[in-house]
Amino acid sequence: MALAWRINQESFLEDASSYLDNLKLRFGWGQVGNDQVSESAFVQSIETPGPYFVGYILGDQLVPGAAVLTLVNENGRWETNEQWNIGLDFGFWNGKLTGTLEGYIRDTKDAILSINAPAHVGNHWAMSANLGTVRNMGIELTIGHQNKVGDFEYGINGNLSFAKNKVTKMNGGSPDYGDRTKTDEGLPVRSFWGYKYLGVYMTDEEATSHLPNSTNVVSEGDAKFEDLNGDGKIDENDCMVIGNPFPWLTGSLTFNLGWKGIDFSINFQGVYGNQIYNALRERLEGTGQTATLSSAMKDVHIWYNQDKRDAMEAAGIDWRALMNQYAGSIPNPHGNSLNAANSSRFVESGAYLRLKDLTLGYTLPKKYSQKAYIDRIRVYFTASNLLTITGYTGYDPEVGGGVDYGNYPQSRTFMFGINCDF
Amino acid sequence: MKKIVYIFLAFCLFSFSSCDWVSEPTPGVTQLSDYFVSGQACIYNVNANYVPLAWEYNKTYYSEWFIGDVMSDDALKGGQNISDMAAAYELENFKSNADNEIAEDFYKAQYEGIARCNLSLHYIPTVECDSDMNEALKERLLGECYFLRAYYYFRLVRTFGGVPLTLGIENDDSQWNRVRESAETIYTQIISDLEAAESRLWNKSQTGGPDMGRATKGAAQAMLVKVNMYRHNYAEAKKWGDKFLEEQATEYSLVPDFASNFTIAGENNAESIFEIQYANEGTSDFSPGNGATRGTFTTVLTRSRSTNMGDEGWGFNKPTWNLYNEYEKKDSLRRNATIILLDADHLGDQDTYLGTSFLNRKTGLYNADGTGYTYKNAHNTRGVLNNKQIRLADLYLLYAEACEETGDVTNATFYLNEVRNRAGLDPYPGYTFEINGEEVTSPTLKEAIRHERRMELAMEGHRWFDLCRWGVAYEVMTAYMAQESPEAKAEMQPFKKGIHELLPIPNRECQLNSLLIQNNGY
Repeated sequence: MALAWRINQESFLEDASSYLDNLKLRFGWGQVGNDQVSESAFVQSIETPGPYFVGYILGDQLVPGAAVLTLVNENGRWETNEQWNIGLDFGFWNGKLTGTLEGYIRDTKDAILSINAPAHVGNHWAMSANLGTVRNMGIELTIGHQNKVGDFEYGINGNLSFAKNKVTKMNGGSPDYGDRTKTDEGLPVRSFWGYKYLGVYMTDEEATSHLPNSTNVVSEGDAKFEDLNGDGKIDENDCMVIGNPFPWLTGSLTFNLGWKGIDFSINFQGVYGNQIYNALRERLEGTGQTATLSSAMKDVHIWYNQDKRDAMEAAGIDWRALMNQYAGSIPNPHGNSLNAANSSRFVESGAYLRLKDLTLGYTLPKKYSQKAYIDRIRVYFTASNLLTITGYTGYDPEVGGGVDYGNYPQSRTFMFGINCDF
Repeated sequence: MKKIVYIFLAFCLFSFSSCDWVSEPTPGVTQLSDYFVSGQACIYNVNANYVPLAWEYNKTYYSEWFIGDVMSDDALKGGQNISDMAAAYELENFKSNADNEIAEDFYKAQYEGIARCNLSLHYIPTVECDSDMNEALKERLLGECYFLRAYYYFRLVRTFGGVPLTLGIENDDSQWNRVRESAETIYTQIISDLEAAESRLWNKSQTGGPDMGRATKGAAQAMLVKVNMYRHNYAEAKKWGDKFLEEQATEYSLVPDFASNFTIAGENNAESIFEIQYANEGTSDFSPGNGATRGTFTTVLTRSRSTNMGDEGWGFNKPTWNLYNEYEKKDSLRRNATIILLDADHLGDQDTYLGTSFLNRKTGLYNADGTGYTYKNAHNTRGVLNNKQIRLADLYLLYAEACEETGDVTNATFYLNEVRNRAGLDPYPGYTFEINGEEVTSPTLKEAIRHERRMELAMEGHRWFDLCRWGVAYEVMTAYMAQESPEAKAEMQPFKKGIHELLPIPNRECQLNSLLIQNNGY
């Protein structure tokens, strides 16, 4: 249901008609089913003959098998979206300035998410379930300015969006834990979950006084995590929300210019306020084989090597100071087994500003092109992902989104082209 | 009031006519009964129920011997160094917390097996017999499912204690939260399933050829002996042992050559009662997530790390000096079939771990003089060798224990000596052995059986569970740790009695199922 009021046509604004083209207040409410749910979400499949997951060796031969790997949830329902929105459309000076200001609250009820079942259910993969109600709310502002001065045309279009994501109800009452994430009432969907990292213990005494009740040995060089409940040991009860994958601010800005046959446009986009869990870094700066070979750990391995320490001490070098300088932020890869645990050590700001596209074009005057029986010829150059300003240390803050396993980054492309209209 | 007020209903957002799915109360679910329509489908379905038994690699490697051998006094973790496989290091040194990945992967895999059996047991009875499945075969297939469900629950209960019990199809997320049943309840279910299996399964001689490797009546009877021993129900264990010895006399025998049990030729031999089947299959690969299951990782995991052996391994599960020293002087036959120490030309730089350079010979397929291997792994990671779960010597020693506990000294001694005789050793009584460097000069029958079990079955994944079953884990592990090398000792945490006999319920499970209560001390 939608309701709109064209305010500019009211008598009290008659005087403003010289500069006011359009002023419309809109109000809307709607409830719709979501048909974007994957078709397979509730289709039971059985894994049939093939070597993976179901084939077994009997009589020294691989024999076919068939099994359900993941049970479809028969308690599933379709999700529904309920949305309230209020918007103001405006236009001034014959289209020179146009824009929209819009506020919305969208509740997705029985939101379908892929979640892990307890082991006794026997599912191999995560399955779809109606997790609860997710609320997305925000304000969006879109403003555009177009103008022409002689042969010179230009335009600026901007968009700013303030948004918030929050789970308002969990259907089962209990939270869902995914890979390094937790989803629960009052939290954004898939908030990062883990220990709060405080640095590296510089001495054994510091470690034992911080965790007097630890069941496994903590010592110098091990990771120091916040003991949230103060029981003198680190366990699952010390995990906390350590990041939010949703930016509260998203924006984009486009300029375009035209002069005679030349056209130029440039587009920026950016987000602010979200975090990314850098799971790739967790592997590279963790323990085990990957970390052993990782260049990020080159110095770390040296500073945690007793022989090297002894040699430095003999040579009068203060290795503690060096450790602090080079490796103080990375715990000992051969130390306590929690050293590479999921923690705020790997949570980074996902904010970025990116020069997404830049295009420069030139359209040949018709008197030349028509000689070649071509209606219009335009040559252009486009560059994508030319520049990114970000503090994120992973490959690409844009593809990271949430938990980043080292996804392949977006490429920077340069393109030259010719358009011909016949 | 005002003249120009437009009110318009922009559009109707609801369009039931074109979107039928909106009006459906629940999304469409295809029925599993659509699959269960033929005997062939049932056979395929039961084949797949064996698969989680063979799984060894998901987040980490989690072969059961990481618990059965590495946690016990038989073996140290091994590998490149102490940080190679942190989860196994924690098990080895009693430093595990509830995030241990071996515990987590192992726990989850058993339940995937259980869920598969539950599904089969629900649907197969509804399928009518046809040319592929007569009534007897249908019964046998159900027997296999009962056997396997019992087997998976047994693996869980002896590792974690009581666990949630599921016997149906868990396809409703409102029913997910489930309490742990007592260990006794789980054992009762296991016994009930094994009895249901025993009455339906066929003898080994009827389960040969293309069916070699399936569960048999003899396997169900042997498991009834074993599980009753875990419940300390010795009379019942003896009863099933008597039945096995009577009914299966022509089906099984100890093979003359002990070492041949651990060769490719010895797979599914006369001594084998149940084993997990692996094969060299060209498409086996190296991928986590339990996907490819035809070959075993155990061979590459336990082989020498030496580059001088022609096929590099990763050196896990290294026998201890403590195990080596408990072999009687005359028992070199079994000791040499269990433990190998490569000569200086072949031993690798990384073959020594916390004071031991021994390697597990039973899973490595070493050649006779230890200069190489009799088999090269497919894809360098996947081995061919089956994993023996129960063999006749194991059953004989369990039966001997049951007899000893119930006062039947004659039979206890007889079956103990059957095992000793095959190993070329003098019969009980009349021999001595060393435990932790102390001579046991006149062992009692119970001491002799326990000693024999260690020597006969070492490095086959039984020892840890036996120690816990006997209630001596604290005493044995504490005495063993005191004797370990200084390097090994430096890593070990003291064994806490009443805590370390069980692994922690995986933390992930406690989060997903709020009704689970963690084991004491974790």
